[in-house]
Amino acid sequence: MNRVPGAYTLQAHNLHEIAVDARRLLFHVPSSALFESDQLTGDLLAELRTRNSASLADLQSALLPRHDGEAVADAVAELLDLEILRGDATIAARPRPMRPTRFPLTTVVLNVNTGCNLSCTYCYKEDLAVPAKGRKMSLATARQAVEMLLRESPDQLRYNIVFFGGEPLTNLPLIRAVVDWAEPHFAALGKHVDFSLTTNATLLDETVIDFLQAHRFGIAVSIDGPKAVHDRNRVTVGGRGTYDVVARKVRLLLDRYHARPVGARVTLTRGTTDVVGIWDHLFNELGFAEVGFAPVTAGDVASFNLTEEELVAVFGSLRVLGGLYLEAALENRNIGFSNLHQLLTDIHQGTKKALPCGAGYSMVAVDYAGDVHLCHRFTGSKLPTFGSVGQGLERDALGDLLDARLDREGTGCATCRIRNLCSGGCYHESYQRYGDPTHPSYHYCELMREWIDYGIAAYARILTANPAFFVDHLAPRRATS
Amino acid sequence: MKHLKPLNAKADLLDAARTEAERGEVVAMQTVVGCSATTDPGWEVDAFGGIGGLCQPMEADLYGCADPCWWPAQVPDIMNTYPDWDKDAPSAAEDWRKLGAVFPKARE
Amino acid sequence: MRYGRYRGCPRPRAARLTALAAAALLPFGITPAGQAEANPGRDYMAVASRPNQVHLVDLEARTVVRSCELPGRYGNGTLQMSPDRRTAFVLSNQFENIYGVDLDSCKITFSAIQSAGNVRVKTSAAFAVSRDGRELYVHQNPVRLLPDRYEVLEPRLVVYRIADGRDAQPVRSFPAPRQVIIAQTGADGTLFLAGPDIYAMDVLTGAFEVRLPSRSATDPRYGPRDVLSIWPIGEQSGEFIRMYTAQRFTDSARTPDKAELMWGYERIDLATGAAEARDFGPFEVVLFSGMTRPGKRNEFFAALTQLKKFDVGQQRELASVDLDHSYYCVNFSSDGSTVYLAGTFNQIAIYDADTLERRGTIELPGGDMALATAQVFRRP
Repeated sequence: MNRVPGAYTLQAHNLHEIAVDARRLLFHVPSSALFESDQLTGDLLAELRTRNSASLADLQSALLPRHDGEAVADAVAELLDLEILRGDATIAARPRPMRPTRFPLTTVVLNVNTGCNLSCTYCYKEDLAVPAKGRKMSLATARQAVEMLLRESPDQLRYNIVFFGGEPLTNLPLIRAVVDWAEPHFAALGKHVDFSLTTNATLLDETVIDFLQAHRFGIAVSIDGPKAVHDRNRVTVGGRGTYDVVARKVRLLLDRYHARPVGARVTLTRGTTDVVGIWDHLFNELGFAEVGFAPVTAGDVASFNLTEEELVAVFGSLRVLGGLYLEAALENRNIGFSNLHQLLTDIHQGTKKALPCGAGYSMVAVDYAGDVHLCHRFTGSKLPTFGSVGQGLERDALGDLLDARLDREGTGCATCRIRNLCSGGCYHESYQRYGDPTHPSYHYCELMREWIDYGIAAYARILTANPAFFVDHLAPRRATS
Repeated sequence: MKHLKPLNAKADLLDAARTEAERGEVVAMQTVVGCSATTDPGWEVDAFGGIGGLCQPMEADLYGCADPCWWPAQVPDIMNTYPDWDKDAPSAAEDWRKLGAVFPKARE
Repeated sequence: MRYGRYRGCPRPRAARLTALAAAALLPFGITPAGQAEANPGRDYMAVASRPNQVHLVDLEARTVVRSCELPGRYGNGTLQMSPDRRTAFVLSNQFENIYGVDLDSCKITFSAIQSAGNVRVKTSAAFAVSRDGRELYVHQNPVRLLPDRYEVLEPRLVVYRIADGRDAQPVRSFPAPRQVIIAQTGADGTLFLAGPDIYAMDVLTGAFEVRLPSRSATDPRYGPRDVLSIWPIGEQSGEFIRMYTAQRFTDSARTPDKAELMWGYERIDLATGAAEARDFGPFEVVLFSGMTRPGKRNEFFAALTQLKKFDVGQQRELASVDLDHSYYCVNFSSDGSTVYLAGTFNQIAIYDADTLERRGTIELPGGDMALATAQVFRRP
């Protein structure tokens, strides 16, 4: 045993305590490990919070007679191992991830057409156009993009090609051509390729659905809820609601397509906050496998941004839906609430994220001109590009950007208890709100922290009452990185 | 762990690692990936806490210990990262002045 | 970890080690312990040193006959001789390549460049030549270097055909235990691998077993053994040997404070394959390598900053001298009369094995030997 330090100091930024029912949980921030702590640990931490630092003897005498000295020494040793306590001889370490110099790309997002047949009010795509006037990607560029992916990152076993837009189905010929070319190309390399797309569903028909099924596309449908909600914002160029068409196509799709579960992607904007109602319609009435909610908080057109009060209301209603999810989970059912499902998966695995997502690291987006963007949200934006399919990735520039986000020093993220789950939030959100993708998303920090606390509590309850839920329903949903 | 009960996969890992350490069953890395393979008492003290048991003179031991990454903290990783550190210094006793500090590499 | 049953030629019993067996062994330079040297000739030493050379040293004339250059970088200089004593196999390029150098012509007649593509292979010091000189056995630690992580691969024992010459590729490959540091071939072709335990492997089938438990030793009178060895020495005494330190408890409660600290050795008799672990003396100073004196089984010599001689049976130190500096690698003349110390700097120290008097020094050209193995052998 090493020399016992004179005094111990609490490193408050490395732990987060949450009470769930009568239990005391301890979330270990540096590793995303979750523990249940006993009375002694709780009392010990409470004691340490009242002082700057304390010696072992101090702590032992303060905790008598409730806890005996040896037990206190043990508990102190455990917290020391976890770096929740630090001995006086040690300098507080703030390890910092290394600047990325290699990029293990697995995913390329192809903007197949900047054109879209709809004109949803809140769309963030800065380069949106009608389909006829949209800039379409050529097969040559698409192939170059995939070849660039393989050149930059030849060692992966599975790759993903995502078709985006505009509305990707307005350039179906390109999608077909890419699939026809890619499948044998990857097979010859002994590798696997997956395809996916997000669509407004209006251009689906039996033929298209059969094609998507034959190649096992991952499909997400952009739909905002029941008719009244959906038609508020998801409109044609002429301003007419599209619910009737979309609902019909969705029924066709869900009836016919069984290769993989189909998800609904809901955009929550000003005036659209009835999360439970929306979920109920999409999951129970239309029959989507899962529903994910994306609140617009930093759109270009400020009038669509959720107000502060609405944001609070939205997160509140996410918790209400969470309550339904929890009830169902205890009965071993999954009600397809993507946001909470993903959060529980992260907590279950102890996911620790140095970056908020794989953008610029395991995934890049390519526009019709063959230029490389941080992600699909940035195509058409004014953020500088990061190379081209011909010249390859601009690793220095990408490294710089990611490094800026990795370096939390001097930001609120440095000591935030959810820093390894949130990692400063979506780059595009930050870019829209602050003009700088590396700027942390302070505008929803508190809400995010509460949301994660909620997730931890839900997790603990499910773990106690029905641990089978994790085995049966929380299949590992690894991000593509 | 006696006072913390693991509730997720990460916590399980931490718990297992700690118990193993207590049982003294730390299995060293199989492959030297960088210089993190061993932690002997280094050039500061010998196994008895003094200096009499260290190699004499210290230079006699320099390459014997730097080559296989015996003391990672005091010398650069000559096995993988800085293989040319000793390029101009074949004799530690005579050429030690030519053994310089190393600095993080510029971008690849 | 798979332990196969050892299958191979029946091990010759010690009793069968008659003059006949001895004569059969002699052309390969193994002097059975207890026998006086019957083959006249000269003792030579082969040893590598920085910047990147391997030297042939005439031990009687005490001169360096020849220094041959090796390509690339040094590291770590572990060396094994071919049975015909013409070729030195040296571990080089920071533990990644093995070169076979003809010591008379300095030609590189064999090379195994083990790393390829994105798989980096390091050998700690574990390789050995077959007794018939045809094959080279190498223990490999591979790791795949991916852009975002390292993937540690399973360790393996690979076999090269020496006749394949330069850029040889393995002809056989078997799963092997982890953390194997040194290796040696026995008279009957068994490959001994010294790692957490000392294993005996059949080089045709890859089956291996524990021949001498070390980390897994269960003698309750002892604490766990601490082993160090990077030098495959002992051929002069017909042995494959490494040292350990351990607490030897004096009470049934195994009280550490009351334990004696002992030096011991783990030894494989290369002629018979017999395994033996025994204490040879008290642990007072750190010693890095040691071996039995050829022809005198009861005398054990070891060195680091002192050169010490032990009476194995009595487990006591017989004599000790301070050295002018630390040396790592001990070896002997074929007749056991002379001790050679090598490693660390560029000097081979010569000592009389009876009196421990310094008899001389051979200075090598170039730089430090560091961890190099000094191998002593006879040549006609």
